[in-house]
Amino acid sequence: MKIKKYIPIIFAIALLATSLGISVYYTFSDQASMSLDDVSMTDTRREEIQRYFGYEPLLSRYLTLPYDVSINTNQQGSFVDIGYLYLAFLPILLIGILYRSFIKWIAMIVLFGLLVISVKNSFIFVDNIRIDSSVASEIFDLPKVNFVDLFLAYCYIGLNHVHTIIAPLVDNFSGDQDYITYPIIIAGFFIFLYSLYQFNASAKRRDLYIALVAASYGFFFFAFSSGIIWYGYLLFLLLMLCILYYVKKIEDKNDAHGILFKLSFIILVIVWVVFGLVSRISNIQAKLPEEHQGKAVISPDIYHFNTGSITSISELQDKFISPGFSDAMRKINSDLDTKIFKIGTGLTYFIKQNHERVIYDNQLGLFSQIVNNYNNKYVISDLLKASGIKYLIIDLNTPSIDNTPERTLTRKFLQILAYVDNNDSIRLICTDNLEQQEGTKDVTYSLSDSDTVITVRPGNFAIYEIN
Amino acid sequence: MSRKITNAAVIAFTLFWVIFIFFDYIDKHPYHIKAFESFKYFNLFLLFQLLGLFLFVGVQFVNVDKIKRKFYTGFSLLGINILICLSIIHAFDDYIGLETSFKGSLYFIGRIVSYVGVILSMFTAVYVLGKESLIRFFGKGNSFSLCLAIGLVVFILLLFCIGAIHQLTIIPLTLLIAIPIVVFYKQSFGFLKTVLFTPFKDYKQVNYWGYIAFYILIIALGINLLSVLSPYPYGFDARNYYLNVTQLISQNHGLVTGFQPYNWQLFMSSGFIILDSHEMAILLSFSAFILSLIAINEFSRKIFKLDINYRFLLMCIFTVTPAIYNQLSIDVKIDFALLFFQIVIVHQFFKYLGEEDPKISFLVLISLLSGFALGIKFTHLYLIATLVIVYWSVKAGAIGLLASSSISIGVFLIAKIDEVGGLRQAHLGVDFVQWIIAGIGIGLVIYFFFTQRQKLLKIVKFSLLFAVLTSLPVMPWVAKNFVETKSLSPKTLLMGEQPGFKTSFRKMDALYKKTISE
Repeated sequence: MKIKKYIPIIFAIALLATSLGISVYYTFSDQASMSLDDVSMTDTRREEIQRYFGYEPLLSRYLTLPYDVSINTNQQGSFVDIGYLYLAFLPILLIGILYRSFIKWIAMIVLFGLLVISVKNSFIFVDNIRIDSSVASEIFDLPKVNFVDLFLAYCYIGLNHVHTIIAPLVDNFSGDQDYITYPIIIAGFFIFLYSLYQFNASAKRRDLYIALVAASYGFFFFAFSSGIIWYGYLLFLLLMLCILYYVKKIEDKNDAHGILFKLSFIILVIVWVVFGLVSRISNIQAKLPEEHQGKAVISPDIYHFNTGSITSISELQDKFISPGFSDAMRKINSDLDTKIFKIGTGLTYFIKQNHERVIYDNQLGLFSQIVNNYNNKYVISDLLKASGIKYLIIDLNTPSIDNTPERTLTRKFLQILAYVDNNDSIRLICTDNLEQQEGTKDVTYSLSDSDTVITVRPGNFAIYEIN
Repeated sequence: MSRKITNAAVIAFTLFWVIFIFFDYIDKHPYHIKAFESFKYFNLFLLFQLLGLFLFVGVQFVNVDKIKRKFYTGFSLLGINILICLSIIHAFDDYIGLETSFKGSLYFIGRIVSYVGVILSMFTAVYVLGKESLIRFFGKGNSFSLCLAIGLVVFILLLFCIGAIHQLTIIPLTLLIAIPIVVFYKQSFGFLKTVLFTPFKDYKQVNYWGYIAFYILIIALGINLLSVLSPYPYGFDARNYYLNVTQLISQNHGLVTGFQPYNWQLFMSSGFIILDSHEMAILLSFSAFILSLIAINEFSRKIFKLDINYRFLLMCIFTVTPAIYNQLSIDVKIDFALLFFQIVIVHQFFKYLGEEDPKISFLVLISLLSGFALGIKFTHLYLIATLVIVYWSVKAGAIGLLASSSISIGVFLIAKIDEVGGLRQAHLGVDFVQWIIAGIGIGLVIYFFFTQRQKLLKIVKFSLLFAVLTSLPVMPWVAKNFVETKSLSPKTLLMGEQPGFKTSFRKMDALYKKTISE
């Protein structure tokens, strides 16, 4: 009679095991399919979206996602920085609420295992040089290392030793593509959700609800969002609510774990708030000259616009985007029948009726096809003109989003640079790229591919008119 | 003995974990250290400290209820924010070799007060529409954030209708704002009084560290508020998509062909239409973050009984997070609007679950909000699936949990939602995995049918009603996409046509060859 109660669970486990079994079978019988072909390597979605997700073996990508999203190993920048509080405290919270010693040990081992896999695909920054995890021992030979670098190097080396034990589990079953990842993460989610439900079944209703909402939403975010942070704002807010709710609950708890949790929480939250505020005020930007770093709490155009010292938007555009920008936009908008071929940039906003005029080619998939079929610059210009394309807008930072190991986007970008260089059939009408001829003091807004020209300030865009 | 060993291991693990994660984070984010090294605004920092200290002494230390009641209101929050913005302007002018005149300061104050005035008017109309709708149709109306949410649904639906006939101009929009305010003038005054002059509910419980969290929150909001008052939008996504669509709507006086559903951009376009001002449009987007703070404050107070100090801390931690302030001040998107609706939905859903025998109108309310949120961004599908899973778990136990999770994941995979992230093709076995997972769900449902039919009927009834009602607010967009594309493809009906001029290499090549032959 007792078995009857477990029939649904047995049924679910049987089907999951079947799914795993089929996946394992195909994994070993079709090993070659786990590597990407050349066509998929250049997939534009791989370049654009997966830069948040990583390019390591597929199973590792998912398992390391909480770490990657918090530590920002795949994509750096303030726009993806959600901080350390979630990764630092949620696992500890989880261990703290478990009662049985045996379950605590399992939790610690699983968390440690996930950390080992995550660190394997990470790196250490030493004086802005990126040292991969696998060669962390090289840090000891470097001249400018600080306490943090050394601490991390020792930890990475130790964790990588452990990784050599579990590496075959991942490497033999997974690659760029695989059969096994979905069954594993889905089964893992079922086990986690089921355990969470059972643990909270007798707790307060709101505790059960929030645990289930956070866990379920978290699964969908981690499984389907490719690591894009702003798809999961609700998750981060609910998780922080959970942490604070837990802190409130253990306010009067005086065991060692409770005291350690509260103390570390207070210290790290204070550090985080100070970090956040100081970082926002200093607003460090990679492209700003060193002498101006820390000043950009707002930008000069905001200052002029809000104090009334300059109210003309054209004047502000020419002063702070690039000289001649407003004229270039006026030219583009003078004839609404013309088309614009646009690669990246945020200039769409300035183009009237852009939803009917702009051809988007952010990942250079279309332009690459044109170049591969016609490698004559004048022919390419004629081909563009035949389609009514009068203007070409290029994002000069396109290679910066290329995190593919094969640098496919960068290669395509070089093709378009080769097209625009020394090309009589097109004319540069506006750029914010600042250059200086060697040996002179004259600076110009231009884009040259010459050894005698120095880039004074790298630009973000270049606008060409096709003659 | 084993318990002691386990406890020691937990302490050691906790210490290692926290320290390692902290230092690993610091290593990967050198810009935080550089922010300290390059910090220039010591005078501004000192001013903030002095102001904070002054307010602390006057409000917290002296601890007179009359002063506290006036301090913890929207009006003083706004006043302090303007003061903070002015301080930043004056501190910044040193670095560009200028001096801000009194006239310049007044100019700024005039701008911000006028924008806030217009925004308050809009939200007054939104609030009274929401409150009246809730009272008349749902028998509710005591949740501030719910009134705003429903009000936004009604307001934007009306914008959609006006936009469909390309009449989104200043007169219809002004009437849309003025009529509810005038007709329901009592509620309008009530709203303004609440927002500007009524103190937070438990202001008396604010202690010293709660005050600090609140003060830092105001500073962070002030800095970001000033940063969005730009002459043109910054940010790749803001310029290419979110503000772009908003501007196109106002240029075309109505709905624009192509694009995924854009409920929130419709609302933001009011800024362009009323004042021909993109700052208004951006401020309307900024206000979505304020709405999110209001919603999370209400949610954590009413459901989790968190005291005001913890709530201030929650809002403070969230606001100073770089990923948040980036979207707040640099690359304006619509994710905060979605966040607001999602918090309200989760809040109401918790209440729904807690009721013994909830009314059908309650489910209609949650579903309509959910459908509307889907028209802001399709990632709301994650929450829709989550709500179904949680409902099945609560009402039907562990088996319901497994069944609903399996069906939800199965549906996601069969509908190829994982294609959006570009990762589906990497999962070689997805074609059989999706059916096995769905099969688990269906098998468990069949088990339920034979063992707990009544329970199954209840949860299936909820799921079907929820699904159908959620899809209703999306139908106008489906109709719009069908009219534009004449396609019945589900993807096109939901996502619309991609914007931009459609071409391919083949078409371009054919046109070129035709030109040559001519």
